[in-house]
Amino acid sequence: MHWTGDMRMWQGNTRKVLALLLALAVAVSMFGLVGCGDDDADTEDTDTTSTEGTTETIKIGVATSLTGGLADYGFAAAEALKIAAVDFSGFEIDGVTYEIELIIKDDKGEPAEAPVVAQQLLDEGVVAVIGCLTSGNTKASLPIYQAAGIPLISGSATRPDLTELDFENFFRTCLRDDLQGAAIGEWAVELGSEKVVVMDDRGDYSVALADEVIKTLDAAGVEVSREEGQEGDVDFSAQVNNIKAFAPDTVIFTGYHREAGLLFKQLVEAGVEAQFMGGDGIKSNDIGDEAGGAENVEGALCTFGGFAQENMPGYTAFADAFMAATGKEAGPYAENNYDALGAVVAAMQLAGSTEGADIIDALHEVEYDGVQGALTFDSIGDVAVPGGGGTELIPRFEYKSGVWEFIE
Amino acid sequence: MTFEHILGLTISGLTVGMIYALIALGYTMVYGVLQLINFAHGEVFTVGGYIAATTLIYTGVDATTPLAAKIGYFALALIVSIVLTSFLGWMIERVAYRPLRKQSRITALLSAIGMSIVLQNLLVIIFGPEPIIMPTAVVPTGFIEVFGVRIRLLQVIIIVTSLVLMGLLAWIVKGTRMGKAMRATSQDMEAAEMMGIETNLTISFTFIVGSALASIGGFLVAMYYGSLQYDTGFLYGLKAFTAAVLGGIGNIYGAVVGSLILGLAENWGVGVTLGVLAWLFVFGLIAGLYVQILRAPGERVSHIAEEFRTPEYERLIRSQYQLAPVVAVKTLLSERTDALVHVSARHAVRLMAGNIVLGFFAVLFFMNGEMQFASKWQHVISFAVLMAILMFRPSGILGDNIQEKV
Repeated sequence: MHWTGDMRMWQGNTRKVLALLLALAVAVSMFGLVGCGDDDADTEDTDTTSTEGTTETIKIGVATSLTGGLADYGFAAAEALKIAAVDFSGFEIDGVTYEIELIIKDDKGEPAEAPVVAQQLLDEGVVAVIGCLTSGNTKASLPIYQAAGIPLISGSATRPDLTELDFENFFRTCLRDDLQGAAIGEWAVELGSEKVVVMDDRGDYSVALADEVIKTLDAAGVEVSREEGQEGDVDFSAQVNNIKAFAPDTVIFTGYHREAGLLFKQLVEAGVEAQFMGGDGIKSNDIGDEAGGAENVEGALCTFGGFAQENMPGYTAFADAFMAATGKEAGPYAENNYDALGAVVAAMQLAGSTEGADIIDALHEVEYDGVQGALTFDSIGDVAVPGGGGTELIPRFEYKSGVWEFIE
Repeated sequence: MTFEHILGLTISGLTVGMIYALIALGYTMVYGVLQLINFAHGEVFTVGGYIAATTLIYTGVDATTPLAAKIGYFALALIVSIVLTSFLGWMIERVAYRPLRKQSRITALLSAIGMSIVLQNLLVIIFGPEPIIMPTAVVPTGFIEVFGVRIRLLQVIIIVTSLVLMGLLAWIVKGTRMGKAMRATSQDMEAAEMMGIETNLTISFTFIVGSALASIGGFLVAMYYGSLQYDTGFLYGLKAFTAAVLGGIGNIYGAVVGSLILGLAENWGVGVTLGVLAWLFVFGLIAGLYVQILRAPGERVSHIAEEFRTPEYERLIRSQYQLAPVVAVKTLLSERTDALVHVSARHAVRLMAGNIVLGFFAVLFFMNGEMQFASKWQHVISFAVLMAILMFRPSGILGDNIQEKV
């Protein structure tokens, strides 16, 4: 092609301007994604210098999912922790008053992002981390926190083996999926199911929960067909056709609500008439919209990986505080995340130290009275349930005209 | 394995395949004209769906809206989406690709990937990370039962719309001046320019048409699945790109064929028992043998001028180009080195290997006829199909047609 000198110059300039614009756009978009959580973190820096010597600020990391399919769970966790940070700030150790500064990072619900976020939090100099939201992310980032001697307390990672992997720095304030899986299985049997499809999304949380459900169903002699989807998929037509051919009376999906909504919608549209069930991953009221209308999920059943909120002494007050702060109802696992921070603060006070290793030791000993009631951790970091605890601990919910309603 | 099950899988496969095709056409057209893989195309598709859904939400359509108004809103959403998305496609080309056109191809490719990331993040910034929900009122919910299989009205709409659009595109490319300009530009840009074709305009037009198709695809997907997320286009773009390569990138009919094969493979692969899949392998085996024994030698014979054809010479050519394992072995052992035999022997070896693989899997699958691939193999199977076809036909199924250049 033939360019005159002028055009060449013009083109060169355009190129530079465009390159600059693109770089700016990328920078802006990255900021938009990552920056969400940092807004209120900066404000607290100012008051540390004004009060002389007696006040110190400690950094607590939060690794959760503010974008992606689980953004609503992440929102609940982050907001609950912001409330907790305000509530627990100002505790004293040896005459020094400590203010809590939260460093909130978004891991997008993707296990590949979790180690990156972990490293970022460690670089910030956090003494403890609350998270991660999902079992997969927790598993992916645990080794990094362990190497740094930083405790990781999750309010929602329910995969059973997480506490059995020899990570002394991991604790959780929710229940385990072997309990929840058994509860789902028992519930399906109670309902008289004889042919059950159990479908997972191939994630760390989902597969483990499905395995536990199938264990219970097999023991009860129920005919089970296993299907797998993929997290992030929108088309489940192959699975729907297989499920239709199997003609089950119950379909249990152990993944998260977005895929569950799409699956239930496609099942209804294909004319499959079955009882839909799921675990804590589908307990989001958004599932109705995601299923293209609440009527597609009407009557679906789910369980939850925490204690029943109705039995918690402090839940009403907490829910009110959450509503006042955010204008929204407290989402799933909000109270568990609140308690996670509470337990960390209690452990710091018990240990009289803000060092990671001391907090880990103290967490095994600590007795903390939180939203969920009195909370202690057992030797591997699970919530110690007095008397062992059976499937009756797992609360049950039914989806009725757009909301998950607690079943007594 | 019932007939209804197979029919259900086929309908689902066709629907998904048609959606892939609408996106794949954009990939393949741009590749045909610019030899550029426009990785931002998947995001263009998402943006199309977002714009349509936003328009519908904005109109406030709900179950009480009269039918005529619903159709009006529907048309409005479609038009707004097509216009804005086409503009976006035009702008992407203008901003991200045209300034780099004279530079190496990898530069434009990187620019395309950057554009894709920027668009995805812009969607998050504008609409937030949660999925956008399509108002259900405008989605046709009717269905018909055929042999016990529910075929949704929307599935029929998707398949018919796609077919009409593809027919329209074929007409544009083959029957209009602009189409002629597109074909000329894709063959040789400089020569086309010398002949007085406005190549810049033609390329812009290509992007506009591709984006318009993608926006319709986005709208259909948003209706079919009820919602759309900022990253939905990534997987769809990847699948559609795969389909375009499968059919032969740069070839418009190839994109459609590749998309349908991919859509069907995804559904069939994990939906039917191995016994049914084995019949597909048997069919492939028969097709392969037909090509080797009749078609390929016949073509070679037809290359010889009539006046040189003696029955003896024909037989010689046929024997060399047929299965010819003996020739193949001799050539591999370097006993015969003449170019003609060498080429034919390599060809024969490749086809034979293909047949042996097909036969092996057919037998293996028949022996385990009652078993079935678990659905977790879905993506593996579709990519295995891609690998298998590209191994034996590197240019894609219809890939040879673009070699008009020579």
